Amino acid sequence: MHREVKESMVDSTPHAQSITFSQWSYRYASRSTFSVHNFSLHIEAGQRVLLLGASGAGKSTLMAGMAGLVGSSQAGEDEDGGISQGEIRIGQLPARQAVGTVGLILQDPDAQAVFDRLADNVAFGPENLGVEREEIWKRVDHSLAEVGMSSVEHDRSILHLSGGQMQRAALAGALAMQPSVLLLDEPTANLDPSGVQQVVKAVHHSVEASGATMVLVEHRADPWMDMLDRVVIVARNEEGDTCILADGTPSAVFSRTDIDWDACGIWVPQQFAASSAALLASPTDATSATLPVRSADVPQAPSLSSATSHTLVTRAAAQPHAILQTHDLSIGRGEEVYASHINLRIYPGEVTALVGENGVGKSTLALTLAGLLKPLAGQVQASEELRIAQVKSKKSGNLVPNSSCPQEWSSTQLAARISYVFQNPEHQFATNSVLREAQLGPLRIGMSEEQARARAEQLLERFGLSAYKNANPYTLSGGEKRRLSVVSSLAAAPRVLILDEPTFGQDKRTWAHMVAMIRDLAHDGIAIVVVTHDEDLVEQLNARVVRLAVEGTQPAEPSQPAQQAQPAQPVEPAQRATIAKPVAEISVTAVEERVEKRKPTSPSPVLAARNPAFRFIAAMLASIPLVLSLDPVSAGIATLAELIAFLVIGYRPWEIIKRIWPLFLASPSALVSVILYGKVGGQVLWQWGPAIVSQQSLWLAFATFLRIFAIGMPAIVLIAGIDATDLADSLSQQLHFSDRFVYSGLAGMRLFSVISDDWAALSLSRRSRGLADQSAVKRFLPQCFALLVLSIRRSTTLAVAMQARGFGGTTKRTHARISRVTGLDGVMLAISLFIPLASLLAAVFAGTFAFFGNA
Amino acid sequence: MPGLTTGLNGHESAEALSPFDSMDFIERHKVSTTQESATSASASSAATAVSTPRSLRWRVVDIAVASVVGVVSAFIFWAAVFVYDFLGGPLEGALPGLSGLLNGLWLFAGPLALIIVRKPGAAIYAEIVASVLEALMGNQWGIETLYIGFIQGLFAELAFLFFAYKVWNLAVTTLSGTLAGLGCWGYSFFTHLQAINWNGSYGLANLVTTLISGALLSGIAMWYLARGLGRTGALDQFASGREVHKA
Repeated sequence: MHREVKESMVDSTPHAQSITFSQWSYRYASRSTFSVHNFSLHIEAGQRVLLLGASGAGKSTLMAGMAGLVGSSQAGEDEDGGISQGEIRIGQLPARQAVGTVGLILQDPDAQAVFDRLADNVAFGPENLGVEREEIWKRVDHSLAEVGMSSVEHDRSILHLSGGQMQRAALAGALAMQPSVLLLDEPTANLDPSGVQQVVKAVHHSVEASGATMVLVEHRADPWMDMLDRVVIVARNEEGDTCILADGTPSAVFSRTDIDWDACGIWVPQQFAASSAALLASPTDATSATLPVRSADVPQAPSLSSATSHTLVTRAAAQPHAILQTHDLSIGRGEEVYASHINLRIYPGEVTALVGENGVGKSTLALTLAGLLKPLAGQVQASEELRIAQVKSKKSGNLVPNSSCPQEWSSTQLAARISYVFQNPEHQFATNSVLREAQLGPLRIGMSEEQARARAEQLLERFGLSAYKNANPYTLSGGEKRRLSVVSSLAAAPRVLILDEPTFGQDKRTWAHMVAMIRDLAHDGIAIVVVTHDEDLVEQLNARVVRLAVEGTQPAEPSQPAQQAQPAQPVEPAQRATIAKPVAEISVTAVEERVEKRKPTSPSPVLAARNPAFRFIAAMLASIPLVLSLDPVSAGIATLAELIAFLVIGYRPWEIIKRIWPLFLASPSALVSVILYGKVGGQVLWQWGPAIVSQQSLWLAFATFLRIFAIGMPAIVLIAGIDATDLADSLSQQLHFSDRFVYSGLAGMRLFSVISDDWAALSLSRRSRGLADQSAVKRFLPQCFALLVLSIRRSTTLAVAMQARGFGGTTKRTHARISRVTGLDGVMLAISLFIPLASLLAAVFAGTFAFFGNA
Repeated sequence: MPGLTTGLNGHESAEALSPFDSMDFIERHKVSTTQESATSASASSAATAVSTPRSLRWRVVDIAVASVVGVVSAFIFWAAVFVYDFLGGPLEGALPGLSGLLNGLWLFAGPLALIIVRKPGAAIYAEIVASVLEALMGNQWGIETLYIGFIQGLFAELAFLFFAYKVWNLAVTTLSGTLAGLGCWGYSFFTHLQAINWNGSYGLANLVTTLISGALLSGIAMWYLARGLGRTGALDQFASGREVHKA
């Protein structure tokens, strides 16, 4: 069956296209210099090219240019205000007009999804290209099969896909457009090793099948080597032009010795790595003062010891006591237990690496160790010594008494003892300058302004950031942001530093900086925990490995049998071997394989089957006319009729109450306001200042109270549960709203779950940085600001991903999903209008009708 | 039927009636004519373009960012309910109508989206996205948030419309926030506070406090917020961001 689909596709697959840059230049509107200048290159149709270059050489701009996302067809300004010169052609067409023939995969899997359901995302590109519906679903099946995901249900929520699956889904989305050119911009940088394998395999397979031209930007080329024909290294020359530093077959280019590979930020593939073998092979003593990986531009500044003499520990061996340990610890989120009976010890001056597949709970364990999540059972115990690392209470100057469980410490106590460096540095930023970022911790734990400044400046100097003292933290480069987040975590002199994926998405150069930095800190006697998939990092840090693995699965690399027999047994530092490192195991309960069914959009099957946009309209019809009169008769009859209608179509009473409970909160306050300040009439019953209780105000208050239910109930019950995607389809197909607005809005709404996660991470990071003791108002606003920055970044990336799928172009879109309207939808509208009108009529006959509350 | 529905049903009747589509059409037209004359655009002309809006046509990134402003706002509106529950009572106790000071917490989405993306309709669009999301999540008011969101967005929009979407500064933003407050107040007394005289002491106290709140929280504060966002570099794709951040 799979085969049949494939054969039918072959005819329609367009031939691979060549790519030609002719003296192309591009300058972003926000930049004063060209990101790419005067660049020429020809890539033959069907070639598979690895594009390399130092950071800042313009790789991303070249990719965006090929994808037709920046630059205009003619020279001049594009719609973003950027300036382009020269041209890029895909085959014969200017890149800007070749949208749809080029597929682009970006680094962040989360940023490329528009819809909640898997298959809808794959169908998005073909829809934008105007492909017929039947053909779209053929392509969806075919593309999902190409990336090895045909067994995953179409309706699977992308929230329940792993990173590797998400990225394969993005690939399927690009393949469904049947591109003749496939662009991959660091597609595996955010993935764990199994995710990397999945994606490489899927790309390999699909490129073999389609013969498309491929351009890859990637720092770790090893897994891709089999499929590459050509390697191109770009750089800027003295004249400021973007030139080609090397160009040839992989073996020709990688065997060159005159290229500064480190500066290019790339890991030289192993088969060619002889020249740089010294760098990776020899595990250096973690306490060695001279670090071969130290890069020249991270200054070898004075060590921390002068500033932290009270906390300095010379080496692990001299310090046999664990600084932090767990006893029979259970970790998890909410009620769900991920792993139990964890006994772990963390030592000063030692690096502990928590490793394991994505989603097994490494971060949860790390956050629990960091005092940011509550242990579900058992305990995390801080040593006496860690608890002495004190915070002076600002008022008394006395030492604050404290428990041995980090989770019970105050935010400032925590900041001075255990710091957590989040995977995304932007989750941590809380101020608007680099210096203030670094000063924040010291100030929070009660250092004087001068001390804090001195400490901050010293750290910034040490980690090569002093040039940016006054810069806004968000404007730093990725590697710099990462360093700053470590600096700001360190500034309060914690004894334990926990880093979540410190090397994710880093190129070789920034990676080396990070390794050097962590080693230095361990050397200073800080206990380090890294959560990582990065095997090179583990090796370079000579870390003690703690592996989290699902029960019954084999670890990726064999570990000593003795260790396996006693899971989670802490490994004493004395036992550490330099090369064959012992591995501690922690068993994790398997994440249930989810089978997802679509949830009904209402407990009433009749309502669930209605068209979503018509449900919106029905809610309007049912609620708006009631505004005309404020009287208990119309409001009372409408409320009653609505209740009966909802019961008839299958709601149970408690299901209604569950949805409208907020009305029970809102109505009493309106009731009181109207009783006291409502229109006065009839007998005055009570008066105090401006508050007058009269017969009429009581009557109106009663009417207001009832009408809140009459209006609120249909407004809430008819809408609650509608699926956002279905609503968007209906708005587009039935009400003919603009697709650009409807689907961009939908994509924005899908970010809501991501944004909620961001908010949670922001809250944790603020606790870790000592900010959570501040008043709620002081905390709330800066956190909202940080949330907005993150969200705007996510949405701009999403806009790129959507445009790369051909969205927003001039082609008439088609619709993969059909939004249907039936006669019953009309009946729903009629009933929704009938109830308020009949109620108003009843009020007229009863003589209670009060137009806008004026009797 | 109140004006609210006609505004929404306008989309329904024909595509040409949709404000967004017709705008698209006109602007597409404009862009194509300006592009021919701009073929020889030099670096210096781009420098001036930084401060003047180049086109009123919505790009995908404009819609995406206006959407996400709506989404984040919905998130904050939801949190603001707790502030209201906590502070509303004491304020009302101090002076009836004073709780209007908190209304600005629900008004900012429109002005913020508009001063970031600078496209006509951005305030209405962001408010609608926020309220649809709130309604789908099942908030206190269901679809009613859509009406008030639309009104608030519309009023916020008016300030910039008066200046033909050409002036983007603190004063107009403050006016925008104030007008959003007016819309919010008007809507309340038109609907669920019908029972209270809008021109009585309660109504007027509520009007004044809502306008102040709108001016401060949804006007002035949003202007500085947008500048702050611009300085992070997150708004580099927008003229509003490039005015404060040039790399």
